[in-house]
Amino acid sequence: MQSWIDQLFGGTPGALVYLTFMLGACAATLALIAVLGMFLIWLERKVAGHMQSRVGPIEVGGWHGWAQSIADGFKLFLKEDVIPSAADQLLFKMAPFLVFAGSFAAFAVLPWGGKVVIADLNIGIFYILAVTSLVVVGILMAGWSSNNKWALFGAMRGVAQIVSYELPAALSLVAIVMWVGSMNLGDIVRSQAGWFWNWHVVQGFPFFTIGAFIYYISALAETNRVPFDIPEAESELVAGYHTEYSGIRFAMFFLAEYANMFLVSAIATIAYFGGWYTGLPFLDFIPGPIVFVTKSLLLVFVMMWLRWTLPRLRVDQLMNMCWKYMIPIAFFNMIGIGVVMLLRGRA
Amino acid sequence: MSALGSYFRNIYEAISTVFIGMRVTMKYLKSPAITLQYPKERMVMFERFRGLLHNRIEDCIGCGQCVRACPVDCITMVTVKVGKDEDLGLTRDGTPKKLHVYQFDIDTLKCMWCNLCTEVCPTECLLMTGQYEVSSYQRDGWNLRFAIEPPPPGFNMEEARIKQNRIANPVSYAGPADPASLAIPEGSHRPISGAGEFDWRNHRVAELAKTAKPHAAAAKAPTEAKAPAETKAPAEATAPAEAQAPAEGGGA
Repeated sequence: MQSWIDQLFGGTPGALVYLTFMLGACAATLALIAVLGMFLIWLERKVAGHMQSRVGPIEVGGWHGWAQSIADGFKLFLKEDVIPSAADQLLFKMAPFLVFAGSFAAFAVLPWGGKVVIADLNIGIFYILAVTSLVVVGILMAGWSSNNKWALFGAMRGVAQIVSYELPAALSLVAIVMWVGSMNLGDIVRSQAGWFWNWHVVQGFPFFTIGAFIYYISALAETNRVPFDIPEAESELVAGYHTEYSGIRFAMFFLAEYANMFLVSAIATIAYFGGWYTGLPFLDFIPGPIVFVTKSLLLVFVMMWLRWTLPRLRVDQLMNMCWKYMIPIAFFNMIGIGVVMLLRGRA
Repeated sequence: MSALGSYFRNIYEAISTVFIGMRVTMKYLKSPAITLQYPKERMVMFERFRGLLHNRIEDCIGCGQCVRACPVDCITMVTVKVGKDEDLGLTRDGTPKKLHVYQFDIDTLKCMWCNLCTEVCPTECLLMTGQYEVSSYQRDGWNLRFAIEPPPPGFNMEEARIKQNRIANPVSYAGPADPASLAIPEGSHRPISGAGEFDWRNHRVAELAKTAKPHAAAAKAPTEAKAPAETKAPAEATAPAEAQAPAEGGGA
């Protein structure tokens, strides 16, 4: 973005101009996340409804209840912000914003299109893995400061789960970084240009195909989605780490969850499914952001689809799956990619 | 099976069963919803559904059988015999009306929906509708008033009610009912038999009317506007009580 501003002004403008543009980009991303979040919440409810032979929200706004999320958002904004008297005030107030900040910051490096990227970091994927770890801290803060046993159980489960599943997720992304030779998200997408068989998921068959599966499953676990929703587990833990939250702070958790869903789907799109490329060169006139968002939303839809299909795993099954299945396979994958690179002379 | 074999078998089973489940949910996603959008759509009640009671007051002869049949005493009725030169006309099935019905109140709060009152009703005027939305903001809303004929001036309703109704907590007279309120609400009324067109209740009354022997008075003065079209008044004069006979055991 800096180079783009320099180009726009034909030189190096003052720091104030940079700041203005940065704040503008922040506001735009925030608006985008809010709209996306509300859209995804509505979509989730519609998908849930129809998968259960219901109709979901149907009244608010006319067409299939499209304004339901807006109405719910207003309601949450106007509600009382209850803070338990025995809660740790500072941590309790900060936690939802920290969780949201974790996923919000990661949006900075997403390449929406060939040239549409806010911060073109050369360590983009590393940055995302690092900054999304804030979510874990936020969840633990929320659970601990609530001074509620359900919240604490939820937070502990959440942290154990997210920390465990970051390993297979990171390992499968490391294989991609090895293959591309860059941690820049734009470079990763550019190495998949052209036909869809250049997408990593096909290009690196079978290793990247398995890697895509592993990344996607780990992403489900990291976003606390079914079947890995044991930190929330409403039938066991009320609502998990956000049991005590209400009003705007609860809305922040909710928004962060859906922003995270989109984020991990976007990373899967970038790493395995060709980012902003359509996969059919004659369709490349379609603007990159549209292709990118469509692909990501499809992956989000699969998350919702899975949510209404699978039951929740037990804690031991969850850990079993991570440490006995996902991590060994992810390592195997990484080594396999290394061997393929040696054989093809890419190393 | 070796440990390694079961390891890969686990992976295979996990993935394949997830796909089976996803196929099922996708099938449901594409299938239409089965829920009823309640305030916009209402369930069609089945034929023998016991909803709110309704009295078609123009067919009520004031015989009081329903009051006696009611196990919970929810019907309050005040009637007065017709004068010698008065004629209230016939009911739909040809029974002469010999009593003024000044009060016919059903306290729905007491009603237990046993259907006994409609079974004894000789003229099939008391019936159970398909109306199941019985909530009301006022207590009065549950007292269904059906009598539209106002009592003559100076008539002591309170005294007559106490004399005629030996029931616990009878309902005080609250004036004649608004005839408009007696119309059965559109759509919520029992759609009468599968097709929604066939009016089993009126059909039963019409069947009764065919075999009814009309009242002598009706033969003399067949000009009553109240007599429905299907009640033809043949010339031969017979005992009026016979008209009621076939109606026994009617109702549900």
